Amino acid sequence: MPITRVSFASTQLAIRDNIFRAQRQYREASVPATTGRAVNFLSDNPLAITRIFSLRNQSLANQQYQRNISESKIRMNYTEVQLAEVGGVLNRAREIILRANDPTVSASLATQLSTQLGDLKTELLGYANAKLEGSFIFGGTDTDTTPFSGTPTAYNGTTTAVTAQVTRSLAVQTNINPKKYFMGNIATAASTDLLTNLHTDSGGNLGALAGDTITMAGTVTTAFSTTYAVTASSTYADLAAALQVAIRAAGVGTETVAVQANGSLLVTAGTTAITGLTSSISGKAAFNTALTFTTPIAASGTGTSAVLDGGTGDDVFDLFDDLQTAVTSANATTLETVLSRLDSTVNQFLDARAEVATRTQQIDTSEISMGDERVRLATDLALIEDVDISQALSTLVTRETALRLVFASSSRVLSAIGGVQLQV
Amino acid sequence: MGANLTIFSSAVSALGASSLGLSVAANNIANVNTPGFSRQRAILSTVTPQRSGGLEIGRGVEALDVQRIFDAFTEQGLRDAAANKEENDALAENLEQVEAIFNEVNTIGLSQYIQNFFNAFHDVANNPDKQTPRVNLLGQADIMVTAFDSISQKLKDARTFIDGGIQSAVARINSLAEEITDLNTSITTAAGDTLSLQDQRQIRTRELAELIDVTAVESADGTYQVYVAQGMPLVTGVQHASLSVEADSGNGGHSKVNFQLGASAAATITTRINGGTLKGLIAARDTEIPAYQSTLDQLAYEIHDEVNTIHLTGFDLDGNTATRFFTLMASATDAAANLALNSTVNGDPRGVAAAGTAASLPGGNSIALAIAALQNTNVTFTTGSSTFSEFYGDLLSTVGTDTQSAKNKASFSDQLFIQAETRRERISGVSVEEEQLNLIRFQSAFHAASKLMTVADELLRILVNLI
Repeated sequence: MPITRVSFASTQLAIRDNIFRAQRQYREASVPATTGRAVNFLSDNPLAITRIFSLRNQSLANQQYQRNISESKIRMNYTEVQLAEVGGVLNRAREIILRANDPTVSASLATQLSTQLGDLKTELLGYANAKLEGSFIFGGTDTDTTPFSGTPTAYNGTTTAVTAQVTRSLAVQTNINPKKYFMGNIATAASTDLLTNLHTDSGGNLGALAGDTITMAGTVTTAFSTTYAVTASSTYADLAAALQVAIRAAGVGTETVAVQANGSLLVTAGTTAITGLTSSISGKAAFNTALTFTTPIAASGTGTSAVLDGGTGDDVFDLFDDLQTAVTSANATTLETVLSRLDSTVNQFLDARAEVATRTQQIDTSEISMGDERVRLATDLALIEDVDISQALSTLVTRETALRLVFASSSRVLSAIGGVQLQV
Repeated sequence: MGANLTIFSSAVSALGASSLGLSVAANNIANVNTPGFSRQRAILSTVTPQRSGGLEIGRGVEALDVQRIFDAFTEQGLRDAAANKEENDALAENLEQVEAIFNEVNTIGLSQYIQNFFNAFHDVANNPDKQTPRVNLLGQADIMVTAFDSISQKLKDARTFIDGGIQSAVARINSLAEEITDLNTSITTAAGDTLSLQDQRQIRTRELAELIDVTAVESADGTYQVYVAQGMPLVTGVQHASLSVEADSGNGGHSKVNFQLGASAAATITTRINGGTLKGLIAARDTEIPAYQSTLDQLAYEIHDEVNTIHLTGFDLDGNTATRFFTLMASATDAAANLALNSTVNGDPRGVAAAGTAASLPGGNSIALAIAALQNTNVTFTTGSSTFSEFYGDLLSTVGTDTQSAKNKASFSDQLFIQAETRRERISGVSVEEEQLNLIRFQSAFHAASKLMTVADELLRILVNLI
């Protein structure tokens, strides 16, 4: 059979195949030209698909980090504002102290100045208990509970750091440690083991019996050892106050002893750590049957605290109490002492603002970085996704021309075949 | 005298042969567009010459046969090409539909929903004590869960749809087997011409080849033995076997193809089928789509497992701990369809555990941050370690690659089919120009033969007048 033999059907087959091919190529060229995208289906460029979706996801993540940055900056800016207000209060307090440190100040004036200091303390408390969108900003993670309250003012929040992820690799703390800056100490380790056997009954009465002796010892700047003799009318508050006096005498004067809900004592250090803290109760002969206890009281109990961090500053609320006392005392030495503490506290809050500023700067740097990344991602994505419109249109025109030529040539061939038939 | 009679007989035979030639050419031209028609050719031969007085006197031409121009080898090649083409077309067509399920190149799809889900945990971390970001988180989680289920269901629907195609193909195969058998019977019992019956049988065999791999062998008695699925005897002379479909419990209830010959037990031939539409459909249903389903299920399962592992250690706004975010799933099987929010969080934004300790409530956010960080964490999958986004991106790329490959194969096999068809046409196809030449040729011969008749008649008349 001659290789050149061509049947009528094979001619039509070839024409059909050419037309279909030209149509398909025209259709394929029209899609990117009309959508403006080089990749419209997964099968258009499978290798590019992985890259496209990776860039898109990075872009979404970038948008989220920018939202995180925005939220963080709102919080940090508000914190900075409140701290600045506290600084203002401290400066006004300083002016009052300077005014009071005048031998000519009368008693009534001193009383007025003391009252002003009291008002400033209230204002200070307002800033310490500031809320942002309904949440306390100086309560740590406890955003529902008023951070500072009570007499003496106690911290009711947490010292847990709250962080925000501002870039893929950077998390920035968005809160400060309120206890560190407002209460002047960290107390990272509480001596909650002390006297855990010393429970109270439901009425809050001391579980120890009259005649028991509670001993506490340790070393701050000097060693101390103190005892508390339990009487029939003793309460936890009495015990805590007595121990606090003894510890402060051996320490820097800002140590605290407080009672916990479970009956244990919480001892926190001042600017110097407390080491070797121990406590015990002895002399118990029998239970106090007049009281009801959740658990039996042991005959003796001991507890040893961990080394407490010395803290870095002063209790600002306690300071204001001392300021008021100093003003009414009209004692120059006392006024000088509290003025020195006031200056230290001003620096304390400047440190707080510096911490906020440092973190804000970190966030600002991240914001710029995220902005640059957003542009890079958009550019990279466009390079892969977007089609060169001029090239796409050029290709479309070429394919359209080819299609027309196929139709024209096919028509000629069919006419030629038909012409031969007609001539038979 | 004898020579005159010879001239007469030669003229008569020439007229007959020319008429036959014209008839065959006319039939070829008439069937130029008949699908599967094989051109015919009149086979002419010289009549045995008469010997007389040492001379050999020709006695004209005789028509031996009308032959169908056909090559079995070329035809089998065409069937193979048709089977390959239809197989690739079926696979490409179905993978294009699957590609449409996953195609989120120009729309928002599961990839973004997963990203939005983890981003929502960042929003909770920014304001863990607030309801609004928690509500948004549950909303994004619900969207993601719905997307997983939707894709999973569409893949299942695709497999079910293919089942319908398989059932239709099997029904047509059985119908064609019966027709071929009937044609075998007709060909063996026909008293006259069987050329057109052979063409019809050829057309049906070719259509059969489009559905399933076929080997056809012509026996000495003229019947076709047709073998499918790598040697299963579908048509044996005047008898035929049948195919059937049956739900396969080992394949999720999808159809399996059985072969039954007479009263013998049915044999499952699903995996033996080696070409045609059936193979393409089975490959899509049992190989490609299940692989995508399995990958999707794996992704859903790992998201649920990783998120739950962290969420269990967290505390919700009411101080509850050891709660899951997603309902526990025992394995990855059907995980995409079964992924669901746990009852502790579903409809209760406070049930989202964002804090790491009870003491850090309500502003603690370490758990929310840890879950959000999962989007950048490498997770161990069966194929290796990657992030959730990378894993899903690889799945999309795989779908694209498979679809592109199938379309390329379909295009290539289409070209091979056209080449095979062209080869077949070169042998068996009608060339109008050639038939027109034949018409002219046989027309001239007929004219010449009729002239010869006139001459022979004149000579005879002269001889008669001499007597």
